[in-house]
Amino acid sequence: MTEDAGFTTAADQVAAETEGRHGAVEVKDASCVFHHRKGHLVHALRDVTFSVEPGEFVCIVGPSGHGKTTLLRVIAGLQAPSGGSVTAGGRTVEGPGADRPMVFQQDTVFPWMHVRDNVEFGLRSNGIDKEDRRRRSDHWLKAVGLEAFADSWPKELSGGMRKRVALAAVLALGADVILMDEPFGSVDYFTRRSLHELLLELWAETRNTIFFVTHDIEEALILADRVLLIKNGQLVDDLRVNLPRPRDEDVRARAEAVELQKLILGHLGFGADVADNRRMVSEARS
Amino acid sequence: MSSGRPTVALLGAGTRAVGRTVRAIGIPILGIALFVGIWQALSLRVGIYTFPSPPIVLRHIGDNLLHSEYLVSHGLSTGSGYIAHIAFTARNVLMGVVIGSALGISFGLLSMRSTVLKEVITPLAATFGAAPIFVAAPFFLIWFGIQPTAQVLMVAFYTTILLFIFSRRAAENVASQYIESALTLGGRGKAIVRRIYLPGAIPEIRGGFRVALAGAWGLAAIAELLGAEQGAGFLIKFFATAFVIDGMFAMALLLGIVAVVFDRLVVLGFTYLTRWSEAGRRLGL
Amino acid sequence: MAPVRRVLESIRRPPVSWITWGVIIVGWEVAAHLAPASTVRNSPIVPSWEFVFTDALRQLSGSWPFDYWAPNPSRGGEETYLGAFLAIGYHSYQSLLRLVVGLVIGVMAGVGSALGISYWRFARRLVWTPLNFLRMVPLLAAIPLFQFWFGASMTGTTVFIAFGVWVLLMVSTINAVNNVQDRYIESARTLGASRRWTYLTVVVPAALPELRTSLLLAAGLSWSLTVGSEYIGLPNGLGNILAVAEFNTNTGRMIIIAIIIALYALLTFYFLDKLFRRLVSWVPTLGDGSNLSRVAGSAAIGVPADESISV
Repeated sequence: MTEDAGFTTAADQVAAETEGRHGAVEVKDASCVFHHRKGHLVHALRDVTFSVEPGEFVCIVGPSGHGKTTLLRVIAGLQAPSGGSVTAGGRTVEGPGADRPMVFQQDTVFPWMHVRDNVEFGLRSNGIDKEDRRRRSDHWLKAVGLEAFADSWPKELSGGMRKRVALAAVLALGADVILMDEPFGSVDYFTRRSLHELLLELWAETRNTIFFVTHDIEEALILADRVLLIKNGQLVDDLRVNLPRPRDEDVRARAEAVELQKLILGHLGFGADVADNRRMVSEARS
Repeated sequence: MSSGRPTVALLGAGTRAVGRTVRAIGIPILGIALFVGIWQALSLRVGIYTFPSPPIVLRHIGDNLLHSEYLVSHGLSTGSGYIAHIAFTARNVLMGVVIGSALGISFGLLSMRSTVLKEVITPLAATFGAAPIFVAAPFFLIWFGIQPTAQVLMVAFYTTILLFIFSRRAAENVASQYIESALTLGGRGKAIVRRIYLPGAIPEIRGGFRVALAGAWGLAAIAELLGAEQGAGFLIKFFATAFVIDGMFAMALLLGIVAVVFDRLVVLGFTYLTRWSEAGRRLGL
Repeated sequence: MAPVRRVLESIRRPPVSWITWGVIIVGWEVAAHLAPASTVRNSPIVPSWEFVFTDALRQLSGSWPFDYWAPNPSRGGEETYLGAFLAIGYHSYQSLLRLVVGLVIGVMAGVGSALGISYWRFARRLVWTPLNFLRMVPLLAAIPLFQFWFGASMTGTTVFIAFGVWVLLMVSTINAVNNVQDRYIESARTLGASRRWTYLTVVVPAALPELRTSLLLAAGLSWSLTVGSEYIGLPNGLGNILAVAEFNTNTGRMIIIAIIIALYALLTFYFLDKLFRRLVSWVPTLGDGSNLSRVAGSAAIGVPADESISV
């Protein structure tokens, strides 16, 4: 599992700020090799390289099991790459830290803490004092619409509400880079759409760099400035989404949007021109 | 974690496997060494006459396990050692557990089909299961005498109750979609019990088996302590009255080892039975 | 008020369990009359309820060791109900004192030492094998040994019970810590919490709910150990009266004591469970509601929960 590389305090974040380019993330030749039970090696990531400017909303898209989550976990510091490097805000990533908090796919709201304590957890762990914490948790609970539930137990909330708690907990840290691993996968379509709106609203305010892993192309088009396509552990394409926000149904019905969708699908092996796609896929594999 | 350092994965399958094995065997051995070390230290501190040290106990066992002059000289055996008595207890425990499990599992699973059965047995099982069972020991001894029968019956009684509770819980937890699927495919009654509930419940039943077995050793031992003429408990009582501390210690150790061995065998057996399951994958060490 | 209401409701529509118990009670009485007459006085093979609650009960007054408040039968005084109840009270007090103190000490020592050790994964694995072995040693078989070491006394028995409970809870707690889901730990770490802080505020609370069944099992174990020790070597306590009764083959007294012990045990489980739930009120589902039968059932099972350990 992970090595203990210490924790990142608010002070460290300040240090990162003064080093400039906080919120920028660079991934260079990242590879990740696992050893399968049966003996052979699994290349979860192969020489992935890209760099992200501060404030970009990046979606990592690809089929399940192809390395998107691995990539995210490498950026998070939960997984050590077997080769290559990752830097965030100019500093090499060597472990998890409050400068890159993550919203998980599963429910990670701590059931033994009240909602407010959950939101304040990261702050408390990083030495922020009581008044400051209170102020920030108040702000973010309000921002996600849960100020009335600050003193409730997580078990008293619905799944969607707990997601919002997780969101508030992560945003409260004020980190420059936010990571999200298919965070809305476990909620129904309608809840997911309202969570998208909430997320975009909040992001418009804070302009953090966001990495959002998903296998849902529609979700990617609603959210992302940029889409990184991962297939078979490789970065197959890096696309800009230049559609205007908000990305409602009309915007997504435009020709450019449809072309984008077809391009993505094509890269990942689907689409009308099967022969072309097959060629693209085998090229990507070699 | 920075660039250039190869993952352990790249060291080659062979090396990794060796590493895993070393860890799997080495750490328990280290743990046992720690245990023996603490034991020795305690013995030095308290005195070997009160708390015999590992070498003393081991030598005692070695001298007496298969053939015991000590027992012969006291007229307690005609040449066999401790192992004969342990085997006596073990036989009773096994018989009791086997009988009890068969009954307990049958009742438990059948109670899924008959609410009357469930309503009748469950409160009984809960009460008897919770109360310290050997409170019934004196009754068993009075009603059935001191011979192995009383022990076997007591162990069987305890095991039946335990396995009833366990197998019922396990059956209740067999996901309803399997039952419903079987029903829509035309399965009925007894067949469902045998082919859906039983296999589905086996992983959890394993737990019950182990608990019952562990408890059964204590039950059988204390029943023997109370009035048998053979068996591990009988030996312990003899040693107690004669103040043979080494012997008492040795018996406790031996019983522990035997219990662990049987437990491991149960785990192995069940691993084979559940090799199809996700949980089964975890079961086998 | 709620429990009272529930009892009243069940009187209106008696559950099958009441019928079962009724059948057993009646059946027992029938067996008592059908069983061959015993040759020994006061030792019916199957004591009838009448015998149990009159003669046998009165005979318990013989266990009241003092001269005040009730006549002392061992010095020629008559056997009285008052004496019997005093005797029951006195011996119950002895047993309960040992049990509660032993249980509390054992639980605190077991959980505490386990939480301390479990911080380091290596330590968990190291300690696992010997602890598991220790747990498998049938403690009931070691009663004479412990009485030799610590004496057949209140202190000695309490230490014995505490030891048994300590081993059990230590094993279960280590297992519970091992089973804490990775996602909670990872989440805390990505929020910037240090390893130590994560252990204290995330791992420990997450591990607690799993301890419920072990706690109930520990309660059952401590009853066995208490009564067992008293049976074998002590001059007072419920196990002791049981032993005396058995020595005189007075089945009536044996039944009374057995029933009393069973009742105490059930009450212990019930209150322990209630206490535990209060402690972990935040848990979404703790299973097996507050129905006494189910709690006792859990206690009987008390899965040592090492089923999924993969140390």
